[in-house]
Amino acid sequence: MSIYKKMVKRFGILFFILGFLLNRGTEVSAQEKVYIIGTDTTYAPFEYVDEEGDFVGIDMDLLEAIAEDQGFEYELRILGFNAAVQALESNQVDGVIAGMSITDERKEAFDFTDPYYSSGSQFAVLEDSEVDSLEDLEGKIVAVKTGTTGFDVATELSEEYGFTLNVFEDSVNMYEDMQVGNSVAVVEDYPVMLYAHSTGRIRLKFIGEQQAVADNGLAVNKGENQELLQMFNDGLANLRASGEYEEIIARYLGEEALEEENKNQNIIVQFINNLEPLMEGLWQTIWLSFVSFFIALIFGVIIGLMRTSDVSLLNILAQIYIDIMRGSPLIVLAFFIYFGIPQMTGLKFNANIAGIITLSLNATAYIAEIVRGGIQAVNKGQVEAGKSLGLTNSITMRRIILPQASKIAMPSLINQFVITLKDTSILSVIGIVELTQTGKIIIARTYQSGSIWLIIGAMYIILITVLTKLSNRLEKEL
Amino acid sequence: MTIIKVDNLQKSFGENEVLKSINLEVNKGEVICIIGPSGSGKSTFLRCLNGLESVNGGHIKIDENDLTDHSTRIDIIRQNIGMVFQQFNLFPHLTVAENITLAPVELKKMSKSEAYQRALDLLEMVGLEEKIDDYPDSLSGGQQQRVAIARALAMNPEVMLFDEPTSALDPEMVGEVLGVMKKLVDEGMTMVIVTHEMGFARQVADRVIFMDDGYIVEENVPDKLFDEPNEIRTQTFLDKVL
Repeated sequence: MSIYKKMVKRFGILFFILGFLLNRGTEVSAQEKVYIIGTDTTYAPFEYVDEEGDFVGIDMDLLEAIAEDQGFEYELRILGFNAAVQALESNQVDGVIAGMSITDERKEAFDFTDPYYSSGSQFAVLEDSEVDSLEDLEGKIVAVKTGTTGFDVATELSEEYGFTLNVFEDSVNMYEDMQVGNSVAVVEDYPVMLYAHSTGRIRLKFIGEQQAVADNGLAVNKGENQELLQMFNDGLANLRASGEYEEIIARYLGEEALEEENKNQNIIVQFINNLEPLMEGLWQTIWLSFVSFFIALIFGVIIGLMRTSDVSLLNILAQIYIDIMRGSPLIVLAFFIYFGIPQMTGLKFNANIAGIITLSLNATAYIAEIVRGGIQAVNKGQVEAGKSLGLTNSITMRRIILPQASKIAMPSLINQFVITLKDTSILSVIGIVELTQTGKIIIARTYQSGSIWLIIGAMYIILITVLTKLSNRLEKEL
Repeated sequence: MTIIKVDNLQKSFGENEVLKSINLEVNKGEVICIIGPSGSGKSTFLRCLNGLESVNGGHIKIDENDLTDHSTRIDIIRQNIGMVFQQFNLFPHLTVAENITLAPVELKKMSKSEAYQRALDLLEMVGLEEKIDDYPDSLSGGQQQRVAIARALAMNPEVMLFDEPTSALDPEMVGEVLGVMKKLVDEGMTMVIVTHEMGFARQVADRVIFMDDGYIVEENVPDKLFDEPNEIRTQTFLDKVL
């Protein structure tokens, strides 16, 4: 089979995969509008994954009840709070419900529904802490979550009370920071804390009053999706009238929720309890790495060949590409592709596609350099021997240089695959629930960060060890 | 009949002028040996003859095709010029048979079975038919060089270029390679050989060329050049090596 036929065949598979992924994102929208709603990963009691692995919470139950009442359909995107807000700004989602406070500043960019809950930010310390008031925080560190009202409140009060801030992306990290003793206090919305305290996940002592009490609402972009706002408001009014609203709130903050849960289960129990999400996360990590690496391999070889080309334009283009990709952190690239490009161009990706594009673009640059290194490491005499036989450049490349170069490059390629596999964990920032994100979500529910991170770490190590051993064996047979 | 015609050839590596003005004609069936001190430009000159080095001035015509003309398909010219390197340059990832059949098959000169038969014949000629399925790594230097000669012959070239073919060999293996080259001479192959084997040059060459400092200093039939050189520089060189 000629190389061209092989290429066509390979690209065919690639397009098939891309087509499949693209389809998954759009197939439902043909019939009637399905609202895409972004939300936080873990913001109990508003949203979190419960013991059974279901995504629940006040926001979720309300949204479900209202959608049923009003007869509209929606699809959730569990993105994390900041990512959800950015996704809304870039029209990746139609609305955000995430215990979001209605503030004047936010009202400039978004329209909000009627408030479905009211709460303020609350300072809290560990139950046995010596800190009793905001005044005691002088010279101490307070953990806050970026982009929240609590963050604004804490920033404003930090000067008055003389404390400094540790800023986190997730509530869990914030509490962990306090538990390990880096910071002495946390600031968060009162119901969130009340929930964590009441269910015994973490024993807290509340200090000071609720600050900046505000209403929570669902947000849409200003002037857009007004019918969604209307339906939400109508539905909410109906729920309040029927008493269902009270039931939902009580489900999470009433007496029945306040049962002490099992704590400090051993690591094996943790693993068995969370087997299903862990395996799903593992699978997500595996297929994302394989697809991304496969695409990167194709383009990496092309760009690597361009780098060794005598044509200076191709060479320069390849060099520029490599410089840009090597110079930009993966997380910046992921944010740019998932949030930046849609905002600038209106072109939308689903998170998996954005994740694959990010990883492939990045790995392509490194593979190109590996390919270039491999080609240049082949003895110059080999090229001359090929040429002197009258072989064309392309035959020399295909039959003489590439087979030797690929053997030289194989260990580096295996290494790059391992890096790409581990880099999938960075995609959690755009809401892809791969293995690392799975860990974060489980910890958000269980607060068992020690054992869960051990499990997650062990899973990565086992996976990567198995894959590298397999590829080393493959390498020997080549 | 002239096969190679070199006219005022010049070649520099940066500031370093390696070939200053080379003129040479090679006729069909002729065996030319090029001798000279290292750095005299003889290997560079040989490499110019099949376009492995680009030139800075002058013309090289192979069967009336000018290599210095950019419209010339150099790869097609090269099919007609075999080359044997000092370091053999066999393809290490291919067997002996694949090394020999690669070019004829890829360039559609022969079917796979024809090429394999040709490889067998050539290996028989160089005395290595039992090595046909071995990889180059398992062969001695002399054997590798004999396979390299067979590989270069597989395309049925009109001319063979040899770039110090025995310089990288242990002394006891020089003879077997020279023996194969002698066979080619006897078959009437047109050959240009850069060599330090003065005895061999005297025995097989129709003409010997002495190069020094980028010029052809002197050329003559072997007996004249070796025994009665016209130039002092030739005499000085021969005094050192003979």
